[in-house]
Amino acid sequence: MTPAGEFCTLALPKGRLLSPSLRVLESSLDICIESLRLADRQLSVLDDENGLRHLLVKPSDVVTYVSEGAADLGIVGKDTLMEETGSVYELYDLGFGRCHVTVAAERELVESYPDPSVLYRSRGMVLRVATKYPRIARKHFDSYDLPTQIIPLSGSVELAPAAGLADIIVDLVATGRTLAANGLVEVERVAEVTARLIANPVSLKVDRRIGALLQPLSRKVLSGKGDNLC
Amino acid sequence: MGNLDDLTQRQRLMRTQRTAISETFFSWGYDEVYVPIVSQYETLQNRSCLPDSAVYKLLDGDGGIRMLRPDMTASVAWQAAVQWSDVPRPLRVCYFGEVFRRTQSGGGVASIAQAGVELIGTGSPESDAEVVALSADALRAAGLCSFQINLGHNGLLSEIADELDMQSCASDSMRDALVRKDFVAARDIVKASGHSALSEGLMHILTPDNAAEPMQILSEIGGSLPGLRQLQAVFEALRDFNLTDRVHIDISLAGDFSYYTGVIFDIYHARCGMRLGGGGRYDDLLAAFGSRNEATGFALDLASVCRSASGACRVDNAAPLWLVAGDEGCRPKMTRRCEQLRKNGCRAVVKTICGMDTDELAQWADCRGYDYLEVVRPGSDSAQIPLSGRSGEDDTGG
Repeated sequence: MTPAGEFCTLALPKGRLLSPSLRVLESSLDICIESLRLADRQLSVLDDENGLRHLLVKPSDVVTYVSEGAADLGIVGKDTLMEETGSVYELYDLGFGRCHVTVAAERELVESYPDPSVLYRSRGMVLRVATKYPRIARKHFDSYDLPTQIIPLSGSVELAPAAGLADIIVDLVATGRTLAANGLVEVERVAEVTARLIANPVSLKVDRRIGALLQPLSRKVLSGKGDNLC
Repeated sequence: MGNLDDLTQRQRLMRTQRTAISETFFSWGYDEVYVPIVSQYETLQNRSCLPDSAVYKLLDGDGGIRMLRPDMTASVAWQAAVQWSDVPRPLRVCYFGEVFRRTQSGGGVASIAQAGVELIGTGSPESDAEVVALSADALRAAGLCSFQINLGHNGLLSEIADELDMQSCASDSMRDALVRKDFVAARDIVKASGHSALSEGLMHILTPDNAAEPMQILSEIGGSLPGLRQLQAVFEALRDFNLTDRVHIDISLAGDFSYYTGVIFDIYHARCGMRLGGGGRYDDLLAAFGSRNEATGFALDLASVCRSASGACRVDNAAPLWLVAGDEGCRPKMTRRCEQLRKNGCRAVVKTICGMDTDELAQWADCRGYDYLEVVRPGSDSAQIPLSGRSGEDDTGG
């Protein structure tokens, strides 16, 4: 948490969520993002006018920055929030970055076993699951109460079934085109994903400036316009 | 001395804090008890309510299962119910030691150094306030100024759910969402429960912007709820300790352990947001061991307390470290000199010179963290040389 008199700190995700995050800062939180637009390769951008410091960090690190108090607020995908551990308050659904976490398998397999629970049990002793989201996958398959081997990967997860590395995958899907291009189809959805505004628990309680920043969002929610703020 | 210096400095800080915390507990009338490190798995595991996967289990010689204590409260409650059942109540005890929990990944074991108290045999709001205030006093004694206490109630969410006529699955989902601090999901569940004054008030509490005062809103909409009345009573009792400015009401607070039955609290460092400890009321735990007693308590995570206090807490300066060096023939003289230095409160080490001159000795001693070098010569006065950072200081060597 930033001490009084200093800048409030926002951790923003680099990559696909950055542009819509900036739009939300401008449209929903009334924050001028000119300083961020002007920043070149800087990862820390001061905005004197609004008393803010923006940190541009890897999406999976946003939760860590906020939970450890290095940032007061952060914007992060729900998938990252489900995967990472850390004590943060999930305050608002910002509505953009819509996609979902899904279980997918090769088309022939899904056509042979349309029922997911039958499909999962058809693979012999242990179901092998390749994923970038081991925690989400573990939790999901725990509910089926069957032996599962989670195989953590850092990318190109769609390749795993064809390469014989895994029976199925758990991955983030936006349009489904990458799945289709690799001969995969969805088996079942695990979670809907959008970008969320998160806060450090102490910042939220004790820093009045955070409250002032959040008021446009809370007014929208309480006026019945819902959580989807895009 | 680089890393070793950091380690010993940190260890000294932890010892200083532990002493300060121990003296604080003692001054509030809490006596220290010993909590066994290894205990019977069957006796305690079902009571600590940690997931079984978090408990480090061992097999004893008879094939019985034992466990390293995963938390202190269940062990102390068992002792209070079984071994100290004749001791007059209220019983005030404190403890220091490690708890052991298996880590989620890799199967390792994390040991967490804790200091805590248990107040057994009283159920009044004043006793809840006493342990909250004692936790604050202990942290102040450990050198922390910036901390805040989040106060909640373990049963309040269920009472609110009942009041809203929620199905039990919706009630469980709302509790799960709030334990995860997922206000988005919690709001969706409240919205689905229909429109009422309570749901509207709850929406305000679950839409945080610092403008909403949870206690005020709850008092207006749910004043008859028993959990809220208990929370209000403890909050009022905390006024006696001038602590209400540090205390924030947090209805999303749900204890790590399901033995909690009433008012609970978490303590955070107010500058870095780190959790320093927490506790609460557990009125049913002793009954599970055959002795009905109301109880409350808390535990502090000493490593977090130490990290938070760095730079804020004055570490007792270590006594200066002397290297008393000389030839083999001077050993009796060197030994007597060391005894004298130790009597004067210094630390002293003997070293036999192995062909080194005084400059080489000074360099050798300097890079090993010695504060002073004394070179003992036969039949002549010793030469005393202050090393790095000690030049010009008045010595205590006598």
